[in-house]
Amino acid sequence: MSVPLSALALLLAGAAAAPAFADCKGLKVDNAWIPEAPPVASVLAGFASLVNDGDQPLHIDAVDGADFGSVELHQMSMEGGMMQMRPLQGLDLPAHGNVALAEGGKHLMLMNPKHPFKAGDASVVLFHCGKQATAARFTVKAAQP
Amino acid sequence: MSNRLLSWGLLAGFAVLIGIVAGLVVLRPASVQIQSGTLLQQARPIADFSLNGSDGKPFTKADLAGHWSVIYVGYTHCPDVCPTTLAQLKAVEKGLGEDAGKIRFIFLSIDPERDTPEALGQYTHYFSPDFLAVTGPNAQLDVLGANLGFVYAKVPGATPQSYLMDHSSALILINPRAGLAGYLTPPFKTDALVSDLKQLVEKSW
Repeated sequence: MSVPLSALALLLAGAAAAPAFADCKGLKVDNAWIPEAPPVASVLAGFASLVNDGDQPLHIDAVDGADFGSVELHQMSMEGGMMQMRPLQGLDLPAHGNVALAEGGKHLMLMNPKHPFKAGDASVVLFHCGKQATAARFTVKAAQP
Repeated sequence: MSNRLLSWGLLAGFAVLIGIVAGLVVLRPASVQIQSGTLLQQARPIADFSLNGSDGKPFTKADLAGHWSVIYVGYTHCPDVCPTTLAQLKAVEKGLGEDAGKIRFIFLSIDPERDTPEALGQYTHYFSPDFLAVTGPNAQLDVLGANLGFVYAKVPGATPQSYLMDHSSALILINPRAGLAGYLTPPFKTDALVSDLKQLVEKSW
């Protein structure tokens, strides 16, 4: 399933074609951005605010993007002076709820970018919820310390 | 004359007083207080180690002598906190002005499997050409970790190549005698780091 959807993402990014799949009902992806990283970076972070405007809870079970080898969801935490990251098995958004993908917390791991990104670039990432998927445009911005 | 004797006596008294004050100033115990972490009461010696610098040269204890060093332990497959911290250290370097030349910032990768010295150097120098990038065999990283008080652990990821590394988050302070001087702990504030590091370099250890 993810292969044709990735191809669609490419189409979407290139030609701004209308997606041929249904959106995740109620899902809105706001303030989606990627902190600019060194050109050699093999992983980029993705941050956004995910909002479920719908009356039903949503479960995001996968994320991918045509510009990346794979995309994972991770949770960062600081435990006893240790910086830890753990993969997440999807994300749950309650009805009319939201989840922040933000620095120091949950974030996207955009693995193996197919080309370097610099501030001002953009990339389309797909959030899958079962058979539906919502496309979101992430813009690359300079990281602010 | 008694007046003359009194003058000499006063002068001698002054001299003694000045001597005492001067002695107190010179012999005053170290009183550097930092806001961003903890200084050890006494710097701790570090055992010899041999890592690899991104310039292709070995990086050893001798490279820590003669200047203050700030070591940040991390890895390049960490997209969130590691680049943020390196970007912050770049801001600190800028804030230090001329004092920046008295401090070496070192990015120490605890992921030698994926971070080759060359790639690590390219990654690190994106933030500042003056930052040093070092890594090395796990056996050497373990020796240094035991000496500097940092730990790290490999955690399986979704695929064999996407494993994760847990690692200590503190910045490690090394004094110009290559001794462990203390730690700077998160959350880091650029201004506080700048003022702490300025204090340290201005004090001769």
